[in-house]
Amino acid sequence: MNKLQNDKARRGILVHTPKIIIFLLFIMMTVISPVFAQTTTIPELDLDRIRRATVYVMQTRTVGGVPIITCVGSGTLIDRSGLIVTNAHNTVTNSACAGDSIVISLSILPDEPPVPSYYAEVAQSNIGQDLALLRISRELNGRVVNTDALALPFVELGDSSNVNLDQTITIVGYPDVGNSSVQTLTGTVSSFIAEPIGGDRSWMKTDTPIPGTMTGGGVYNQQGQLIGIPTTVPVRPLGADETCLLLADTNGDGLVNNRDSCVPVGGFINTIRPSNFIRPLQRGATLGITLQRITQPLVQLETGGDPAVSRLFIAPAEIDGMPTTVSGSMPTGTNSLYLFFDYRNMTPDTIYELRVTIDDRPSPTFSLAPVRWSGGQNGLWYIGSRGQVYPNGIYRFTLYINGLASGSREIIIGTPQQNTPSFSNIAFGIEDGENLYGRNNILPTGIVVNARFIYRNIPEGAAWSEIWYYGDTIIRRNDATWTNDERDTRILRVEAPGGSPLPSGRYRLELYLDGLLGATSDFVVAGAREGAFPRVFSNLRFTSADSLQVAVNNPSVQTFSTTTREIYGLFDWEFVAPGTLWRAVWSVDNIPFFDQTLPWDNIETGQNFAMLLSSNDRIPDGTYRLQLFIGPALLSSFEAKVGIGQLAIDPFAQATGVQMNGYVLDAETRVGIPNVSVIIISEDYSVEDFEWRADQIYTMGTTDRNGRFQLERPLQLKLPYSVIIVADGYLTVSADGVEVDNETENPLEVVIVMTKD
Amino acid sequence: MGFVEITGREQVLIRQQRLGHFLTILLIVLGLLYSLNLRTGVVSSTVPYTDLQAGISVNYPANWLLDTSGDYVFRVRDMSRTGFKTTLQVTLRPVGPDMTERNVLDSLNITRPISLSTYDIQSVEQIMLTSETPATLMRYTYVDTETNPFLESFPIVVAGEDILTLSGGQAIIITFRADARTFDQDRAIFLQFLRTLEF
Amino acid sequence: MRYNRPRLLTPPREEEEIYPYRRVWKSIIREIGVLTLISAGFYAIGFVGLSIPERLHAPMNIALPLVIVILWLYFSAWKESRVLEPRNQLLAVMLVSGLVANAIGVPLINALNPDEWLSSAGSFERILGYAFTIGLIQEGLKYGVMRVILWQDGFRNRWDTLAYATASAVGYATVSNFHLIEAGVISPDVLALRLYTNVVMHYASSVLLAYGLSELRFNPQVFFIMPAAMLLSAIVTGATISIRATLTNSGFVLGIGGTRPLFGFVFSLVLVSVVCILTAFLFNNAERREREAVEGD
Repeated sequence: MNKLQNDKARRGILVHTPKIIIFLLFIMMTVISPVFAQTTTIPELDLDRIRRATVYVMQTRTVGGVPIITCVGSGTLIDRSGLIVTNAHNTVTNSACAGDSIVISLSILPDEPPVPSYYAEVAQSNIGQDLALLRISRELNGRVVNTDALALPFVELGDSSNVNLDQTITIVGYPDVGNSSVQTLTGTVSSFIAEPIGGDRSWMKTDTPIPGTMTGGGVYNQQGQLIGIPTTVPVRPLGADETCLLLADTNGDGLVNNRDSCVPVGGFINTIRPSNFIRPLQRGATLGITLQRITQPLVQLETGGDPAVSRLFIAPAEIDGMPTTVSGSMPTGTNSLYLFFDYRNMTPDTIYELRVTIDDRPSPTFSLAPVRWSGGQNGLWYIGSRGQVYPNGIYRFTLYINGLASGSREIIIGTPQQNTPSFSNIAFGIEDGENLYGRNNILPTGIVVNARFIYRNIPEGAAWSEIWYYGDTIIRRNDATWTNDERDTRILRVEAPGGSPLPSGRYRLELYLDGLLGATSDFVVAGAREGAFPRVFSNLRFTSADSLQVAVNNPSVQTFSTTTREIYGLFDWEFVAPGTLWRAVWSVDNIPFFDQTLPWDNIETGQNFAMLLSSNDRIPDGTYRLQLFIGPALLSSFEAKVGIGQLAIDPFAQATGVQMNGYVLDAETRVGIPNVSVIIISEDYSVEDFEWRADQIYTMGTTDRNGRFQLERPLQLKLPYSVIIVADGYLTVSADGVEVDNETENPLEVVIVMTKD
Repeated sequence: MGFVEITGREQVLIRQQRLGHFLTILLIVLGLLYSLNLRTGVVSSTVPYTDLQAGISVNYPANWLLDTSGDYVFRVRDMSRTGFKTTLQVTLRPVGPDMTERNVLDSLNITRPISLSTYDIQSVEQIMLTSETPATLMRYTYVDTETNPFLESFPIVVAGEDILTLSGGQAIIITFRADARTFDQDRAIFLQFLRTLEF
Repeated sequence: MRYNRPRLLTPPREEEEIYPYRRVWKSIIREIGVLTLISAGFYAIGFVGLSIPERLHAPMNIALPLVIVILWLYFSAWKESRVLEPRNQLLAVMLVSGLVANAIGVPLINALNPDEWLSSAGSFERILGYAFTIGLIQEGLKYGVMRVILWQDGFRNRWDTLAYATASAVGYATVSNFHLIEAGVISPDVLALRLYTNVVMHYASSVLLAYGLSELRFNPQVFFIMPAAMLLSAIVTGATISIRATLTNSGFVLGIGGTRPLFGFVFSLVLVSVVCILTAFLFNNAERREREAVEGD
C-alpha cells in the first residue's frame, strides 16, 4: 500500500514536474524580471528631439538677385538659442564653397523634408578640423532673431573620450539635397584613428556608410548625447556627376547644364570627428568674447607652392608625436601602427585622404575619407591607430592630396617574430658639462646636442649612418661600421661649428642601417636655458588697460572686476626661430575656447607679445588661463580670475530628460485652445507657493492655433514639478508632484482638457 | 390633496407684498452692484513691487507673471490671455547730458524694426505725467509672431504705448503692450499701473 | 319609471372628487426623468466610445434643445389642456421668458462676462460671482416676467407659481441653450449633458423662485421670503455653475487627460432632486398651514 502510494506520488511528481518547473520559472520571471528591468534601464534615446535638433544647412550665393545653393550639409542644434554645430568646409566661405549666406532648414514635421527657416552666421570655426559653429541670426524675411527668446530643441555634447570600440551609435542627418526627411542610421564604432592634432581619438570610424550630405550631422550614443560629427570633404570633380549635383542655373543662361556650378555632395562617409573637438568652439561661441592678436607678424614666412608629402614610413608606436622606430614588417597580432610622413605647403583648405589596401583589396576600416588638413604648413605628421589588431597581409598606404596620389608605403604584417636589427627611441638633450638638458624634444640653446637611442640585434660590422638636419639642411653626416659594446644604448652628438650655440629652430636626426631608415626624430631648439629646462616664453601675464601702450607698463593682475571689458595677455620670448610651430590655448574654467597652432612669425627674441580678450558688454566671470606650448611641451601658463572666478551656470544647458509636448483642448468642443500658457513650476515650489514670479518657473510652453505646445526644456527625472495652466474663461488646471522617470515615454505627449464654467 | 383657490381679477397689492417686491428688486440691484464690485476686486487686485536699486515702486495686477531677468527693470505679463500676453514693462536707459527724450525715442524707433515685425509708429505726443513731470507718449503697432518654428500660430497685431521721461540721468520707458483687439479695454489697467508708479 | 336603488352589501362608494388642475410636481418629475434618461443614453454613447457621425452633429445639436421644449409641451402644456382648470398662460410665459432672455439676459451676461474674470478666482468668490451675475439676472428676469404677466390674476393657487416658474425656466433655458450651441461646435453627446445641467439648474432655481412668489402671493405677512427665495435661487445658480465645472474638470495628468462628465451629470441630478424635495416640503407645509388656518376660521 505504502509502496503503491509512493509510486503514485513519484509518478505524480514526475508527471507534474514540467508543470512545476514552468510554474517556478514563471514565478521567477515575474519576480526577477522586473528587478532586472529596473536595474538595467537606461534613459531612452529621444530620437524625436534629436531629429528636430538636426538641421539642413545650405550655403547660398546671390547671383543676379537670386540665391543659388553653393554647398549643402547637415547640422545639429546644440543650444536653445540657435547655436548649430556643423562642418566648416560647406559653411565658411572658401574656394569650393563660395557662398555668402547660410540658410538653416528645420525638420518641422518628422516625416517631411526640412523647411528653410532662418539665416545663420559663422560664430566660431576651425577650418582645419572642419568644424564650424553657426549662430541663427535672422529670419528668412531678414528680421533679426531675438536669440534669447528662442527655445529650439537641442542636444547635449557627450564625452567622446568615453566611446568604445563596437559601441552602438546612431547617425542622424539629411540623406540628400533637402528632398527627404531627416534620416537615422544605426551602426557601430569600428575603429579610431590617431593624428597629432587629437591623439589616439582624432577620428572615429564606423562600418555604416553615411550619405555625403549627412556630413556635419550628428552621431549619438545611447543616451542621446552628441559624440561626433560625420565628416568628409567632397573633392570637387571637374564636372557634375553623382558626387556633385546640378541644382540651379548658376550662370543665368536659362539652362541647367554642365556649364553651371554643381553642388558637391561627396561619396559615402565613414569618418566621424569626435565631439570633444567641438567644446572649445562651443565655449568660445557662448562666451560672447573676441580674441585678437595685437602683435603683428614681423617676419614674412615662406608660403606658396603645392601641398606635398614625402618620406612616408611606418612606425609601430609614437611618443610625443615622434616615431619610436621605423619598420618594414610587423609580426602577427600587431595592434599599433602609424604612417609617418613629412608635409609641405599644407593649408587648412587642403584635402587629404588615406587609402589602405590589404593584399590589394581596399580596407575601409583603416582608410581615412577625404578630410581637411588640421596641421600646420610644414612638419612631420602621422596617421595611425592603436588597440586594434591588424589582420595579416600586405598593406599599402596611399596618401592623396587634393584628390591626387602623392605618396605610398607598403608594409607586411604577419611575419614571424624575429630578432630584427633596429634602432629606436631617440631622445635628445643639450649637453653642458656633464649634464643633458631638455624637455619633450624642446631643447634650450646650447653648444652641443646629444641624442641617445636604443639598438637591438645590430650585426657587428653593419653599415649605418647618422644624418643631422637643421631645417632641411644636413649639418652633420657620419657613415660608419657598427661595433657592438656592452650597452644597448648609444649617444650621438652634434655641435655648431666654432663653438657657438646651435641656432634656434627645427632639427632632425635620421639613423640608417644598411641604407634603410631605421629611426628618426625631430627636436626644436628654442629659448634660453633656465635650470634644467628651456625658457622660451616668460613674463606671461594678464593686465587690463585702454591701450596696448598702457597695458605693457601695467602690473600683472590676477583678479579682475566683474565689469572688465578688456584683458591683455602679454609675454616675452627668447630664441624662437621663425617658422617654429607654437600653440596658444586660452581656456576658461579649464575648458579651452581658443586653441591654435601657428608658425612663429616674429623676431627671435622680443618682449610684450600681446593678445587681447575683449567683450562689447563685459567679460563673463570665470577663471581664465593662457597656456603656451611648443610641440607637446607646456612652456608657460598664467591664470586670473574675473569676478567670482567661475562661469555662471546656464540653467538651460541640459538637453537630457523627458520632453513634454501636447495639446490643450476645450472640454466641450474638443478643439485646441490657442495661446494658452502651460507653466511648469520649479520643484522647489508648489502651486500654492507659486507667486507668479518668472524665477519660480522651470519651463513654459504656449499653445499654437491648434492647441499644440512644446515645453522649452525637458523635465528632469524624479523631480516633483508643479503644473499650472491658465486661460481666460477656463477653469485653471493645476497639479503638484508631477514626476517623470525612466519608464516615462519620451517625448511625453499629454492632452490637457480645459473646462469652461 | 386640498387646495386653496383665490379668485378675482383685480389683485390689490397689500403693503407687505409691495415691500416684498421692492426688497426683491432691491436685492437684484444690490446684487448686481456687488458683482460689479467683485469684478473690480478680482480684476483690479494688485501686488506691490519695489526695486530699490532702480528706484521704482509700483503696484502691478495680481496673478501677472513678474520677470526682472531681461534687459528691463521690471516686466509683468498676463499669462491667462489667450492672445498676446498683455505686458507692462519699465526699462531704464542711460542718457548723456545732451540727450533729449526725442533722441531716446529715435534710438528706440531705429532698433525696434530690426526685431519687431511691421513696426509702425502711430503717434507721438507730449504729455504731463504728473504736474511736474513732462513726458513723451508714443503709440505704435507691430505684429507678434511665434518664435517656435515647430508650432503653427497666426501672427497677432499688437498695439503698444511707451511713456518716456528723463529723470536722474536716465531715461525711464514705461511700456504697455496688448492685443490690438483688446488694447482700449486693457488700457485701464495701464492707467491704474501708471497711477501707482513712483520713481 | 321608478328607479330603485339597489341594496348593496358594502357601503356605497363615495363620489371621487375630480382634481381640476394639472399636477405640477408630476409633470416636473416626468420631464426631468425623461431628460435624465436621454442624457444618460448620450453619456453611455460617449462612455463606450461610440462616436456620432459628424454629419449628424448639426441636426442633433439643434434637436436637443427642442427635445426639452417638446418634453415640456407634452408633459406640461398639453396635459394642461386636458384638465378642468387649465393654466392658460403657460405658453405665453414660456415664450416671453425666452424672448426676455434673448433680449436682455444673454446680452447682459455677455457684457458682464463673469466666465472671463471668475475662472481663476477662489471657490467662494466664484459661487458669489456667478450668483450675483448670472444667477440674479436669470432669476430676476424670470421673476419680472411672472410679476408682470401673472401677478394680477395668473396665480390662483400655490401650484400655479410652480407651473409658471417651470414654464419660465424652460423658456429661458431654451434660449441660453441655443446660445451655447451657437458659441461653438460641440459633439451631441457632450452637448446633451451640458444642456441637461443647464435645464435642471433652471428647474431648481425656478422652483425656489416659485416658492417665494407663492409665499408673497398667498402669505404676504412674511414678506421677506420672496427676496430670500430670490437670493437662494441665485446662489443655487451660482453654485451649480461653479461646482459642476469644478467637478467636471479632471485636472492635469501625465497622459491623455479628459473631463469627468459623469460627476457633473450626477451633481445636477442630485441638486435638482434635493431642491425639488425641499421645495415640495415647503409647498406642502405652507399649504397645510394655510388649510389649517382656513379650517380654524
